[in-house]
Amino acid sequence: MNAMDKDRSLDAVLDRALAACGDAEPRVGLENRILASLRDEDHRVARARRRFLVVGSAAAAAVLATTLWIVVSGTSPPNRRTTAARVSPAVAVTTPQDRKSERSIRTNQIRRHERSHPKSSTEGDGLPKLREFPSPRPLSGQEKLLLAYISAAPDSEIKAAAAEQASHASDLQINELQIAPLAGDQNAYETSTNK
Amino acid sequence: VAEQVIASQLIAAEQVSDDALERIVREHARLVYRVAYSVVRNHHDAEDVTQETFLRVLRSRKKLDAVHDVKPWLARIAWRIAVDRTRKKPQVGLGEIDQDVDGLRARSLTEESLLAAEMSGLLGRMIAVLPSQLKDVITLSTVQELSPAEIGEVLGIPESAVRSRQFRARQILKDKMASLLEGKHERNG
Repeated sequence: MNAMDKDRSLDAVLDRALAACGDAEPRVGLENRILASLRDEDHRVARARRRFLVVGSAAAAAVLATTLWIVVSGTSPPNRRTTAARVSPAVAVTTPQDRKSERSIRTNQIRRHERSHPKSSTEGDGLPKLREFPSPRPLSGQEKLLLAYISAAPDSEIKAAAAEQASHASDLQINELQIAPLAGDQNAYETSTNK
Repeated sequence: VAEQVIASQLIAAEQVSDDALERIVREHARLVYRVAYSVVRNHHDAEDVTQETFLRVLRSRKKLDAVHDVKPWLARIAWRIAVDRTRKKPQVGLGEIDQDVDGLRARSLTEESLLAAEMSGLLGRMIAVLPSQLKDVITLSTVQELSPAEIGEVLGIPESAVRSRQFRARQILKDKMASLLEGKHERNG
């Protein structure tokens, strides 16, 4: 056997061995098993996607509800124009017109603040801040007339009026009660005393 | 109404891609299995690799329309998964191969089929210890469904490189086998 024949026979042996190496047959039903696992995976992914949608929409609804609640409760974010007016005055060159517009902006802010935060009726009642209690009030019509009378009337009349007022104010004197017996009872009384 | 139209179109597109996927599985499952087997050399692992390959295809089924040649594309996916899997396993050393050759010489093999089976196992171990460039080419060349051009597409190299590497790998394997067969002839003589 020359070298060429030997090489050919080796080639043949190697080809057979390589063919045997690659000649692997899968178990019966490989395709069906693969398709079944693909269907399982598909269902799993669909379930996960549905769950994600539900959780995501719930979270979005919660965020929306929170935002609405914040808006309704009146804590609105600061106005951009207001912020600019607060930040820039140190830098900006102020003209009379600017000052006027700034004043009007502040006034508007205060009004807006008062509108959004109305004072409650109980505000200020918490502490007694007045020096006099009850607080002084204007005189009524009758009191004014009385003052005018006192200033115009003579002293004797005033004294008499004061004495009358004092007599009204003194204690009442009540006489001792005397109760007379009835007529029938009078006769019975007399007979018993005669005995 | 627009949402319903879009949803129905999506469902229809998904249905089409499902059908395409099923067709691909039916046509190419065997090829994918053989590519996997050529690397992992184990039926159980080869089936696992095949399943994993098609799961990856399922996850990227929207790209199916962009794939112009499915066969090398699938072979490439299966190849990568199988190579990743074998990287986790211990490699065979050259010393073990020599021990196998000596063991084969020592036995009195009368039946050719037994010899072929032994040869096939031994060849697998010989291929495993080849340099990686040669090993990849010769491994994929055992899959009969793949042409050298398709092997080049799987490995990302030109067809000419596939042919030259295949030639060099065969030379190395033939040398090893020649030493094995010479030993057998000497024993029989």
